[in-house]
Parts: sequence; C-alpha cells; structure tokens
Amino acid sequence: MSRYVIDTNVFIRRVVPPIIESVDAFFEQITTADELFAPQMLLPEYTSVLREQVSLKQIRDEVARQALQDILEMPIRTIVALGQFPRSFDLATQFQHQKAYDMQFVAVAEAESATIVTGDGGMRHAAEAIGVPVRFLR
Amino acid sequence: MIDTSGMITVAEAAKRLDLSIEQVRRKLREGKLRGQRIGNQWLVDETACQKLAEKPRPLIPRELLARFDRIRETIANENPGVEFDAVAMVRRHRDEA
Repeated sequence: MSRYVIDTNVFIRRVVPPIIESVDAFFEQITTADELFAPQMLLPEYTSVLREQVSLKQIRDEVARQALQDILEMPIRTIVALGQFPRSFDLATQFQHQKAYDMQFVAVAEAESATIVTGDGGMRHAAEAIGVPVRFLR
Repeated sequence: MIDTSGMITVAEAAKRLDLSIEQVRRKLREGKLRGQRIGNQWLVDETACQKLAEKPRPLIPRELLARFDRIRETIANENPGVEFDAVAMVRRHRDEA
C-alpha cells in the first residue's frame, strides 16, 4: 500500500497535451490498496488554471468544465489539518520561497507519511531536502 | 440434488465486487471467477468472490481515465502542434497568486 500526495500539475498534465507516459502510467497503476491525498488548495488551483486557459482561448469553456467535473470524481482525500499552514510557512522560509503554496503539498506529504507526486523540480528539491519521498514524473 | 452451499447469486457477487451483473457473468464465462451453472443461472463460489473482492483493483475507474483521454484529445485537436507546459502553468499561477 502506498500513500501519495498529488501536485496540481500532475492532474493538469493528465488532461492537456502532450501525452506524458509517466503520468498516464501512474494513474493506471494505482490500486485500491493505495491512497491519494492533496491539500485543500488542489481544487481551487486546478479550477483556476483551467479558467485561465479558457480566458487565453487555449481551451473551450465546455471542455474545461468537463475536466473540472471529472476531477471531482477522483478518489482524492483533501486534507484540511490546520497544522499544514504553519508548517508550509516554515518550509517556505527554509527554502527561501516567496510564496508558501508549494510547501502546503510538502507539509501534507510529511504529515501523512506520503510520497509527493509532481513534475515540478523545485517541489522535488524541497521535499527531498526534508526527507519526504518523491515520485518525479518527467 | 445440487449442493449450493457456499454459493451466492450473481446479483450478490456483483454487489460485493462493486461490478455490474454482466461483468460478473463475463468473469464466470471467462473462468476468472469460480462458479457453477445450473440451468441458465450462474451461482458464484463465495470464497472465490471474497478473494477477488480483497484483490487490489485499479483505484481510478477506467471510464474516468477514458474521459480524461477524450478531453486531452479534444484540446490537442483544437490546438494542433501546441504542447501545454502544465508545470509552468501551475508554477506561474502560484507565483502570481
């Protein structure tokens, strides 16, 4: 059994071109023995990135809405534990990040003893530096 | 007399396996689930059903992944040659938030 915290970019990569084999394989390989987590910011962030693509006329409104509807069916447990906020603040300070958004994913992975799944090199670096396992999807 | 002890109906097996009745019948026909055919009716071996229920299954339904595929294909068809950099899209969003 594995526990994963999934970064928003992994979900976005699953619905926009190009096909990234490692991302598709990840979603196909996880089983009912595994658990998926994310900080609560996943859904507002996913929604907002799709909305931005609609405003840039890269994705049609109805297609973005379908992508939004579909992610709501994903079996992800969103974590609302208050401890993630001060911890993400500490981590952002430690890694000299101006913002603490990334670090919420790292803080949740740390608290849940989970592996972070991301395509973002910066998040990978921060997670590895504090001993949080990373599955980096190139 | 036919011994049906330790056997359950297809409907009950479907419920326990979170599958449709047709999916259970298919597994029986294909020999992927042990059962017994009595006349036109299948009965399912309860132990085999239990083992199958405990076996890890894909967490994300295939139909949902197929819907993601269709969305990606639609976006690709409407933006020929465009490769979206999702990591940069999310990164920019976080930096500008």
